[in-house]
Amino acid sequence: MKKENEKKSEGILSSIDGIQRAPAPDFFYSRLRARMEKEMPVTAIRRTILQPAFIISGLTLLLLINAIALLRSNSNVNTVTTPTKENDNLQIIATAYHINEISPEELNQ
Amino acid sequence: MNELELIQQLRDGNEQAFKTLVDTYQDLVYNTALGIVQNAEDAEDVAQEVFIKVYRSVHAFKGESKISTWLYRITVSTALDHLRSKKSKKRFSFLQRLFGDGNEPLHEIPDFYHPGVALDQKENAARLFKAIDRLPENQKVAFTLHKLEDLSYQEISEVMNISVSAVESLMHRAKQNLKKILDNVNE
Repeated sequence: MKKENEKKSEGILSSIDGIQRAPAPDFFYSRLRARMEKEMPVTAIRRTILQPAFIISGLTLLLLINAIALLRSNSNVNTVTTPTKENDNLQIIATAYHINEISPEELNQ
Repeated sequence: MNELELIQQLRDGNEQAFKTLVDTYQDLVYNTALGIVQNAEDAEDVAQEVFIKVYRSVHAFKGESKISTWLYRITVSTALDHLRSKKSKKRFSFLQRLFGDGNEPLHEIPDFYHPGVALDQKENAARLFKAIDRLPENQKVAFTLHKLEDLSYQEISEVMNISVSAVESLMHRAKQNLKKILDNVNE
C-alpha cells in the first residue's frame, strides 16, 4: 500500500515535466497601457516635461524673456529719466524767476 | 536591437522600445507569475504591475545582469507580495466571519489548471500545484523557476541572489516536502 502511494506521488511529481509556457492573455499590451494611463497621468506629464527638447526650448524661452525684459527696462530708464531731469531743471528755473503761475494767455501777450 | 540599446532607449522614454520589451518578455513574466499565484486573473494583474515597475525603475537598472534575470526578480517579488496581501485579506475576512460581520460563505480554493500541462496529466498537475502552494516561499520560487521556466540552478541562483549550492538544497527540500504532502494526501 505504501509503495503504491509512493508510486502515485512520483507520478504526480512528474506530471509537469515538459510543461509548456503559458502565453500572456490576448491584448496584454493594450490593457497594460490603459492601466498605465489610468495610474500614472502625472508621470506622463513629468516625462514630457523632462524631454531634452522640452527642457532646451524652455530654457531658451526663459533666456529670451529675460533678455527682452532687460532691454525694455533699460530703454524705459532712458526715456523716463531724461524728461524727469528736464522737468526738474525747468521747475528750478521757473521758481527762480517766479514764472510758476504764468498762464499761456499771459505768455502770448 | 541588443539589450543595452533597448535599455538606453527605455531610459530615453521611447514608447516603441517599451512595446518591444513587453512583446518580448510578456510570456516569461506571465508564466512565472501564474506559477506562483496560481490564478490567471491575478497573474495578469501581477504581470502588468511588473511592467509598470520596470517602466518606473528602468533608470535604476545598471545592466549588470540580463534583462530576463532582472524581470524574473521583479516578477517573483511582486507575485510573492501579491500572495501575502491576498492571504492577509483572507485572514481578515475569516475573522470577520468568525465574529459575525461577514455574510459571504467560505469558499474552497478552486483547483488550478495550468494551460501548458498535457491533457492526460491535468488532474495530477492540479494536485501538484496544490502541494506547491503549501511550500515555503523560497522553495516554491526555486521549484517554480526550475520546472515552469526551465531555468538552470545557475540561473535560479542569479535570480534569487543565492549560491548554486543553496539552490540545490532548496530544490532537494522542495522535492522532499512535496513528496510528504502528496503521500499524506494519497493515504
